[in-house]
Amino acid sequence: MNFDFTEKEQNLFKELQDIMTGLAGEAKLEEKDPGRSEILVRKALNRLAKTAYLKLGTIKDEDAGGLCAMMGAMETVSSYSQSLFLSIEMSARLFGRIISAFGTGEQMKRWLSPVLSGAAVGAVALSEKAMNIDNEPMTAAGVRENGFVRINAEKSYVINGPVADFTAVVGIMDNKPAIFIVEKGAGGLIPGKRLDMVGFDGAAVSGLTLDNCLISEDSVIGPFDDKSVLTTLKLWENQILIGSSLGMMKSSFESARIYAKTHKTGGKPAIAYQEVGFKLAEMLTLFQTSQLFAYRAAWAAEAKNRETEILTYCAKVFCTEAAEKISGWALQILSGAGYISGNPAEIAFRCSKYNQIAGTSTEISRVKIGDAALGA
Amino acid sequence: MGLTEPNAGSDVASMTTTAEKKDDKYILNGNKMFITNGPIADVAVVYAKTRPELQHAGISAFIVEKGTKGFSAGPPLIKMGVRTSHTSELIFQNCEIPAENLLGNEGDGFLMAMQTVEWDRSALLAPFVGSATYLLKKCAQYAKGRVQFGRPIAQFQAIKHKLADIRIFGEAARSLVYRIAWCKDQGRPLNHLEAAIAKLYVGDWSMAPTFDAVLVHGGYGYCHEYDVERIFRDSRLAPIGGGTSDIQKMIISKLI
Repeated sequence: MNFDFTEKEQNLFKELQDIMTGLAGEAKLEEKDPGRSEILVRKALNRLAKTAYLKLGTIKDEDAGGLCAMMGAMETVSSYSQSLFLSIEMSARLFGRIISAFGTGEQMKRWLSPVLSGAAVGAVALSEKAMNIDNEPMTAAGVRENGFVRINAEKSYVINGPVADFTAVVGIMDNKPAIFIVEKGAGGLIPGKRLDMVGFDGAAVSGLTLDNCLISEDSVIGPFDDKSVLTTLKLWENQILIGSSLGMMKSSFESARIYAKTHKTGGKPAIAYQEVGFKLAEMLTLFQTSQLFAYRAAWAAEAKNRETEILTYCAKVFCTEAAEKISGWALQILSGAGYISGNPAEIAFRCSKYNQIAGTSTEISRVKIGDAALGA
Repeated sequence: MGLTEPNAGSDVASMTTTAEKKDDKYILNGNKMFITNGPIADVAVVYAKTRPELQHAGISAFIVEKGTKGFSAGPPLIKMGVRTSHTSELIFQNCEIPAENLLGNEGDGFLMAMQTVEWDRSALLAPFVGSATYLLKKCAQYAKGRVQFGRPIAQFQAIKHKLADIRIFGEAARSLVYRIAWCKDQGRPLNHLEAAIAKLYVGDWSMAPTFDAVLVHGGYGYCHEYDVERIFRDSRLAPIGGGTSDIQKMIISKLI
């Protein structure tokens, strides 16, 4: 057990800080304008590709670092911009991991290399109607047809949906789970209108319709003999949401801490008042506990520990709920300054609810943790 | 460990127990309060002021053995929980001890006390990790056997959620406790922040899972016969012993 990051990992975090600081100096990171936000995502992917960041967890590269480093790096990037982080992660980490873990050599050359080099944006279309696939069978389906596969699907909440160069559409083929890789411009691929959301202003999210969309058979990953592939996808998505929550906590806490030390009231810094200082203490306690939880779940995944799935659900519930608490408390400390749009705490507060809903929702996670305790 | 006094808890510097040096002896006078193992201890480390005018810098530590003249323990205190652990007052009335019983040097006591309290905090927390593990097991057993509305209550989502929250607390607490242990292994002296954060989290959050466990057991959880009731009472010590949660918040807020 080790609770410290190595010097190499620390150096990576510093590199990421420099890149994100540079981007923040050039553009508004929570960019709502679709055109500008797409340019920003591509620019960020391009710059991050020069570091080990996009490789973490995606490809086996001992030089890149392990899953704990991935979690620490995610925290660093997401603390700068929630939207940019989500867009980057869904491209490199989720789409990239699918191709890396399940794709053939040819598929990796075709789709993984461009995504990891920052030349292309990926997306994963998983949800349908409801935000989860645990209670409902998937309706997205592919049917073989003379060397092609015809796909019909209605997907919801696809991050990068309107801008992705490649989309991994999760569905059913031959009554088994399968993943269809659909390239931008494919006939029958119809991205929906970009959604306006409570948070993640800069992320391009939409529904996705595949209406008799034809792809070649070699664009299909699977079909898989069991449903564990869906569990794996959820695990990876949950890891991203955990990393996102850590970043929210970091930016909210730092914003409130700096304000409390510099804003004077009654002739002394706000932090000198126990009501403020104690709140910050509670925030730091939840933040550090979340970090430990996140790293432990990442370590379990790396060690292929049999408790990985449950520990990740535990970490997901804890971190996503702590992010809402901490950003809410930060807003309280920041008072009027925090309520103004653009403050890190305000952004994190609005984004935090998504992380509790997306991936495996906190409610479903609790049911699964409970089932595990019952030996079900 | 005799540190706390009736009127000096976390504010260690305000202790009033004194140790006056006379020739090759120290003479201790004062009272210590809430001393774990007080009624049964064969030996105690007692903190007293050798130079009261120096406040915390004037605190020294002494070893006092059972049976020393002028040293006595009060009757065991009747507590809400943790009843197997005996707690009492320690009383020093012109208690003479050899000068060689001074631990370290005069004035070292405050630092020793802080290091010890840090251990105290860490050691106090591990049982709450253990109790969370135990509660989860007991609740799961009970929920599988208890049938209501024609099915085991384990099948209700509300029960599963309570089990999940117990597990989540236990895992969070475990990570914090292991981190302190790791810091100690690394030889990092005085890990105030890590210890205070662990103590604050476990202290403030350890009651919720015991409350959930009582609820899972319903009326039986309210009865002495089921030990979730005992663990519920025991958990109330977490935000008090080894420095209250408010004291941990003071420490953390100063460090940030």
